Amino acid sequence: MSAQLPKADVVIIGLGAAGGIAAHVLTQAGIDVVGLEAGPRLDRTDFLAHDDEISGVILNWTGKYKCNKEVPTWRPNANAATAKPPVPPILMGNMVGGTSVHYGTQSWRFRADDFKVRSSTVERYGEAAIPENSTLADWPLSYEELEPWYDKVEYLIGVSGKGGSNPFASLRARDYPMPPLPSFGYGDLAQKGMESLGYHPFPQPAAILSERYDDRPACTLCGYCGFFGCWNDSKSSTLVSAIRRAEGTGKLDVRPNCRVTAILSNDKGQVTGVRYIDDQGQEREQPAGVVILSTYVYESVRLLLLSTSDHFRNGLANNSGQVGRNYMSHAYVSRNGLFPGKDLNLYSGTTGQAVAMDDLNGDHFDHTGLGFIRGAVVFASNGNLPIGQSRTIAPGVPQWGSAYKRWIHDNGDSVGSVFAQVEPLPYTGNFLDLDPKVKDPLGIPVVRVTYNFGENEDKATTYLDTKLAELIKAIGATETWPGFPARTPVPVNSHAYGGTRMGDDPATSVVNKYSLAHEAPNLMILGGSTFPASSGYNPTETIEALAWLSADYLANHLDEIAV
Amino acid sequence: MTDKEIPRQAASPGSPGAAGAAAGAGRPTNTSHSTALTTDELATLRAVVGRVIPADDLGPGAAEAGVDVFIDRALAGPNASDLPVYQAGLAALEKAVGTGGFASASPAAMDALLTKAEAGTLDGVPEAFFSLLLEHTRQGMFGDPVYGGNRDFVGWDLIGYPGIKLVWTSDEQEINAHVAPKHISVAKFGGQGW
Repeated sequence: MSAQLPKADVVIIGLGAAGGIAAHVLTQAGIDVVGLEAGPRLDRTDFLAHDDEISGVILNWTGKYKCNKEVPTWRPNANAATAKPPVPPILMGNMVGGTSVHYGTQSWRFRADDFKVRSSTVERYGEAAIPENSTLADWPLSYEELEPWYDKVEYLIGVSGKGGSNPFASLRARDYPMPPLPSFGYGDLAQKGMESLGYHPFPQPAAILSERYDDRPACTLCGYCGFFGCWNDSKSSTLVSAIRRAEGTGKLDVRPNCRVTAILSNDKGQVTGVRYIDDQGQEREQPAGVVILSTYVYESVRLLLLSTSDHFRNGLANNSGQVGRNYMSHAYVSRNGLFPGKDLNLYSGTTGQAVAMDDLNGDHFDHTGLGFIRGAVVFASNGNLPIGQSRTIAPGVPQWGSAYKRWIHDNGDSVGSVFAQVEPLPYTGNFLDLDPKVKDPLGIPVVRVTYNFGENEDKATTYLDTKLAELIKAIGATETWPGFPARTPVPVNSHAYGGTRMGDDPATSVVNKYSLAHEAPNLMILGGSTFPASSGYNPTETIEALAWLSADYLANHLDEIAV
Repeated sequence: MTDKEIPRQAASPGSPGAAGAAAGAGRPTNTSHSTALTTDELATLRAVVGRVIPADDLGPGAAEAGVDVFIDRALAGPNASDLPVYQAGLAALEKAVGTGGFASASPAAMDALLTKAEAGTLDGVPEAFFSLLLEHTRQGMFGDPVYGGNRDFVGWDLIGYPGIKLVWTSDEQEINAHVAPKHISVAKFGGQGW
């Protein structure tokens, strides 16, 4: 029998991007919140002590507390055995602030069209343009509804960018709170190259400070950013913004190193609290009026499927069988280019410091006759590190020996790249469930990913590879070759979506537009798992805006929602 | 940005970081003891990585950089599951070279065997061996010295990485701007390696 604690108004599982924003919104409204976080509480001295490529990129040290030990398995389809994925897993981080602490800071708003992805596609190209087995759907809310919440997020956490610089962007009520990060040499070259092909480059918006903001210092372009925590508190994680403020109200009880193992529910289908293992290894029960599940896609699906009861025999909020469905993962295409004799000085800055273009994203170009729909955001960024560059060698160069050494010596900082982040479609055959065999160190089944490209993704990535090859030559590369990962599915990804889709119809979705579960109305699910479609953009700012909208709705309707 | 926004010394007094900084940041103090491989295996590995990135007119190679030490520590730590692959791969190289031992063979003879290992035509070499060897040699050569490789920052100097530099100016991000090597390891900031 686990020790039962006093009831909380709201318990949040996972204090990352989504949970951190929700904690801020609820505590500002005077609501008492318990925040259970599986990872530890870390700060900038911990991050500084791990500013090296082995810790951050090779070992993903902030994942060692949880996600590194429970990596989902993969199979390409439901008839196949699990296998080694075509690309190694790209993982998250576990700590107070979650993956917002170690992300690359790209901070995008989706476009109006992204929220109407199915209907706008059908309108322009007809029903036949959508692959037969795709479950592509419109969102149950519009860009216009989400715009005020994007704005609040940008001003709370601190996002740098230049409003109006992207001609494809949807209308915004006001500019970003601060200008973009400074331009950089290779970025200037990339911008000229993009313009020479008729594209419309602009400085990528980034959740990192270009100037002092909210008592935090500006980014010093140190180069340890994506997969690293910020030693300078310049990265706009929820740790140093939303959670810091929420704790300042005295209304947020943060409990690090606390691992939730079940969400509890009653025979009416209402959730009543959570069971967790605390930082002393003691099992506890935390009753709550509302449970917010804001872990990552994999844990959210896993906890729901594991939280069975007489009312929910197939998992919490899953009498519809929709939990785990409509899974997507961003695809990537990149091209490296050689710029002989030029020191590009890319060993600094962040992937957030980038020149981006939206011309090949969404439906910003005519897809007639191309055989695929949607596209990718394309960018050229800073933030290379030496081990990564030591692998980035041109075809025909020996992989070892004096010739390799000579090439790396001459060209280590003369390779520039362009990247495309490709929007995948959801399909009936791509889904998440529990692996029947593989368990984590606690004995809990890990998630099994069933995922593959459709013809749409094959054709989109092939098209984008051609476009990127053309682009990097226009930027000035004398030689170009495909980068990594090249045009293959990334089954396990920190850019994964779906599993608890948002929608109006309880038969085809798990949560409503306020992120409340159709079948368990006092359960809120936040994060990329609710996305009906992924867009080509990075997800975090949309996750945060949805968290704000949903938490605001909860704060205003707590008496009706809470049990 | 003003200077006071940057911590002058991030590690607090008495922490491993402060001690490391006082003792000479980034210099591995422990360069020879074996933790996963035997002394003989380590000697073979040292010769092998010395051919993957050899010492030549461009300067020291992976052997001089301590990449064998790096890999040995990795195999004693997070890469423990790769240990049998290394043991089998190194044994196969020794077997193929015969008497005298791999480390005493001529560079040309060593390269010929490694070329066969790379092509998958050397008996007893596990399929995964050569690609792991390449990847780990690069990690050791170009990773932070606190992990036992990249001794005296020779890997970073080779590839043109200046070392940890907490503040970059916009001017230093211009093409062909000269950025002087800083030779600073994460050990200075409390990094403890494996």
